Amino acid sequence: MAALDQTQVQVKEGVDQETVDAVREVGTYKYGWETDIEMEYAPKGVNPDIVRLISSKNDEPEWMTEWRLAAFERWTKMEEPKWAMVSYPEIDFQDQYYYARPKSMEEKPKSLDEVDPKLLATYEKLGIPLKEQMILAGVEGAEDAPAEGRKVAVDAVFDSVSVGTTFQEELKKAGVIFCSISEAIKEHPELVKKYLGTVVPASDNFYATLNSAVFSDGSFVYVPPGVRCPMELSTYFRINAENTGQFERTLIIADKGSYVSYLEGCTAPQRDTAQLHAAVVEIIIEEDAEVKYATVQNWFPGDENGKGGIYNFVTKRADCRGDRSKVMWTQVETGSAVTWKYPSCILRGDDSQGEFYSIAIANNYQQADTGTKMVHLGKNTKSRIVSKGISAGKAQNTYRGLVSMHPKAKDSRNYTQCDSLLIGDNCGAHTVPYIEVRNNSSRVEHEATTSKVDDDQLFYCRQRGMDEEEAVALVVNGFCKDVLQALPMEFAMEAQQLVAISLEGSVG
Amino acid sequence: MTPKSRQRVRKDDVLTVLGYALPVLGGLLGIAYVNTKYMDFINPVWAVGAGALLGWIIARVIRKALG
Repeated sequence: MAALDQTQVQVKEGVDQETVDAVREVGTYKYGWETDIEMEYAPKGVNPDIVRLISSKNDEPEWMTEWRLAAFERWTKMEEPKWAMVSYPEIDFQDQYYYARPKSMEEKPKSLDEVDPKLLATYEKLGIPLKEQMILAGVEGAEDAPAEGRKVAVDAVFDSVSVGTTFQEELKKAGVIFCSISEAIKEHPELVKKYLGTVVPASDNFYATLNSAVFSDGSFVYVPPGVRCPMELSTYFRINAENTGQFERTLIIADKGSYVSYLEGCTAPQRDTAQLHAAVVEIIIEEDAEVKYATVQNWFPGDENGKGGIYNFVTKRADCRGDRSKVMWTQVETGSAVTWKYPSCILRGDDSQGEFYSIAIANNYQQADTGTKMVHLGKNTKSRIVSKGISAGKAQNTYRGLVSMHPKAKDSRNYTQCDSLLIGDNCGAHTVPYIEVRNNSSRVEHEATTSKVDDDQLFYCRQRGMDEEEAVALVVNGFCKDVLQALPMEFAMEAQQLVAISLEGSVG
Repeated sequence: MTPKSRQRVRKDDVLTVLGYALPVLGGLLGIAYVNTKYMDFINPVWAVGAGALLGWIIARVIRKALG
């Protein structure tokens, strides 16, 4: 702080303001800026009329509106869960917007000239490849532009609407459907009707039920039998509007013998007020199919005094329905003020496999209650959990995991490794494992460690010219290496840097 | 030394080296298998031991066949 005060003095003496701002930005949340764009809102609060309004904005068929209304009816009778080790002020669900979209997105633009330049600038600032900008802006024919290097198809969700999806035509040639869920409801209603709500039912939990009622957009993926998706798929979620919740829904279906790798990323502006994000992800994996799902969660975590930030209440579940199906969850959780998230695997098919790799970093006043559920139903099913929790400042980090071996899950196997790292004296790390074994041929292993950053390691690094923050970043990256290795190559480097940035200011 | 005995010495050398190299190679293959097929939950000690034993047996068979 002394350095900052000094710079303020220098500004008064005529030093360039831009330089001072740049210095001030170092170590703060990189994506905390806001796009000044004209927005269209639904009235505040949630009620059957709002649910119908969201449904009509998306031009949904009657069955979808009925499904939403049934979910809303159920939600009104449910109570907010309080069992997680997180505390936050009571959320007034009637004091926020449930639908917000840029006015320029009312009609899909047909040329670059028609696209709101502010929207284009937003993508550029977020670091989405320039060549894909035209496609993200919905410009027709932009898909034909050649892309450099390895391709990643992106579905960009801005507040309540999907702005565009890239490489759709190329994916269509391979038989893969990748579009926004609102588009899928109109274009592929038979698939949506067959699979929506079958993994996470509308009545699953408080936030999932709310999401079922008011979800506005999200992504839809269908990989046909025997197809290996020719490129990585990804969705980028951006909250921009103030006092607005984001409720997106993702549905991924991997048919027999198919393969797909999917990544989601998310950011939000820096504000003093908290915002709600309640998403649902459903994955259906048929016989011999494989899905890899990676998340780099970088929502605004609140300032150093715990003011603002995103409340991230997410339900993610994969259903390995077919024999020999595989799912791999990888998550890097660095943002959001409160995280409540347990990506799960239902291992229904015989010989199916579930893997979960997680890094949860909590700094300042962040709270994370995260983990996984591995439900073994089929014979000879296998699961592996590697969870790394890092707490710094006054943060609280909880690992909560369930491993359940059902009576028919003969010869099943689970291995859980759960490590916590503490930086400083005021943070906490908690581990809450639930283990249920209902047959005598299955094996479950659980390893857990809690440690502090070793002074000897820091001393060793500092002797080699590193400052304390660099040394901590190096030690933490080593601690997380098992999980970082599980991320797709394109995002591993980014995640590694994110881990270091998230812990800036946590030492000294 | 006649060319015939020189050839015999070389063959003996190779067979001797095989007796050490194949068990080591087998052990390394065991480690590689454990790391690539990690979802099979194989005990690395058993994998290394089995690989080394297999290498030793193959070396013995080769020695018997050529010796």
